[in-house]
Amino acid sequence: MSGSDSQKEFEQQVLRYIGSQLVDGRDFSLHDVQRIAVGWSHETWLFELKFSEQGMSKSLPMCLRRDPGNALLRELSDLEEQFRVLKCLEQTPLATPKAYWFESDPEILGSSFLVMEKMSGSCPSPWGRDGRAYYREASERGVLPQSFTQALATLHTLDWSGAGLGFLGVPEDGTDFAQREITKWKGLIELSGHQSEPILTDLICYLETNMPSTTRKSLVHGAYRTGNLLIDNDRISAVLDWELQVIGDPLYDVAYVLSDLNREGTELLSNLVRREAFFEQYQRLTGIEIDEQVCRYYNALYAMRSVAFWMSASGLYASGKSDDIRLARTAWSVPVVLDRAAKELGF
Amino acid sequence: MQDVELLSRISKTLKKDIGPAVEGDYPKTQAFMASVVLEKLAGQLSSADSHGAAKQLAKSALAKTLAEIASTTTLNDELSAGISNFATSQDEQALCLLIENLYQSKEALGDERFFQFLTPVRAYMRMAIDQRMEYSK
Repeated sequence: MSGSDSQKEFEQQVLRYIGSQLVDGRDFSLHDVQRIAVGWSHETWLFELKFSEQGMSKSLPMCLRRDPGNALLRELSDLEEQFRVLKCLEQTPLATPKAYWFESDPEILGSSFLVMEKMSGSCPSPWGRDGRAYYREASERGVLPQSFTQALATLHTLDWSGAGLGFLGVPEDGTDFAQREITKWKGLIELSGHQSEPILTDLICYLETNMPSTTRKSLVHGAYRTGNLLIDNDRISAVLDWELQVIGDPLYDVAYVLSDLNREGTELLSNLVRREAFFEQYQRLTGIEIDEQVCRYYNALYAMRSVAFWMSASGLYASGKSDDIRLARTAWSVPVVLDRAAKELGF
Repeated sequence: MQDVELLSRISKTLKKDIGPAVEGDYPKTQAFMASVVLEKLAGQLSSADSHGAAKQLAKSALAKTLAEIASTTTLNDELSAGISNFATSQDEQALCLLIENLYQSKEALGDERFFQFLTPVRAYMRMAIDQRMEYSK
């Protein structure tokens, strides 16, 4: 079967599925179908669904994410959890895409998938020249940086328990949050089958010896940065990429914002926000004091997470579970993040 | 043609000729990534011999340094065995176990003694990661 035949069959299957969900609809058709080459963990398809309902023509922009069966982080975040999180967040002030359906039956599209709203806006990658220029200019205009911090404050102050997000697991007061993260990433490292790395051992021992104690608990996104946020008219229109969320210390997200992991050639946080402005606005809106020592610890934890990511990614290719050459390339990302880890440890 | 040169040439062809001609975002990205992978492999291969030799020398020096420090103090059995095992095998697995032994003994050693052992270990790890960074960046 050729690539285009395969795509046509895929589209027909999607149409049959959507038809079974929108039972009052007729004359379904998909337009502008494209598989986008972003994200590591799931296949992402964008399309416009056109149909008629009660004599009215309708059009819905949609995003479909499918589990390729060998997804990065699949042991830690699956599409059903993403669906549940998005459903819970629909009742909160945080802007997120509306989740339409989750389907676990592999008979329909070959594996489980999630269909959600494709919201208006763009998501420039902060890693390229164009993206960096976009965020630099937005920073000068001043609206988007405030919206970036505002959305993070909304995320950290929403009633996660009332929204039903407790199913993510709630850490005990004390060092339990840090311990849970360390345990999670150690598990992924072990699954990767990667050979021993002394720098990683040093880092994990350091992290286990210095866990911060906290009673703070919020919904934590886990990867809050430009590139994971949809932007429309100079404002954050949606927080995307719900794959690493946990209930825990909001400073975990703050540390990620402060990290130089998420900026290139600029002092602007996430290529966008002035540090002093971020501190002032975030602390004012949340009432949470930013403890920079704790943030430094969490940055070391992010170094461990990065090592776990790339070990897992390169392990998927090495084991033959994935043919995505981007994953093969990550074998050389492991030394880069180990170098970063060593610097976090001071050598 | 040497292996390194072969890999480099294929990498350049993928980048300059094949990648730009591929249609579709996903397959195009795959073509460019294949080019990057071959370039990295070429870099790794070209430095393998010199890096291996330098690393072996550094490991031997580290084992000697740790033995010298150990001879100036009394250590618990685990840490003592960790140092000895690393000196014998000089492999990464033994070094990882030694680092774990060190952290487990940190309180008993005290900060000063702990870092006296850890500092040369970290110096070795810095040298080793610098080697890998030459072709990984």
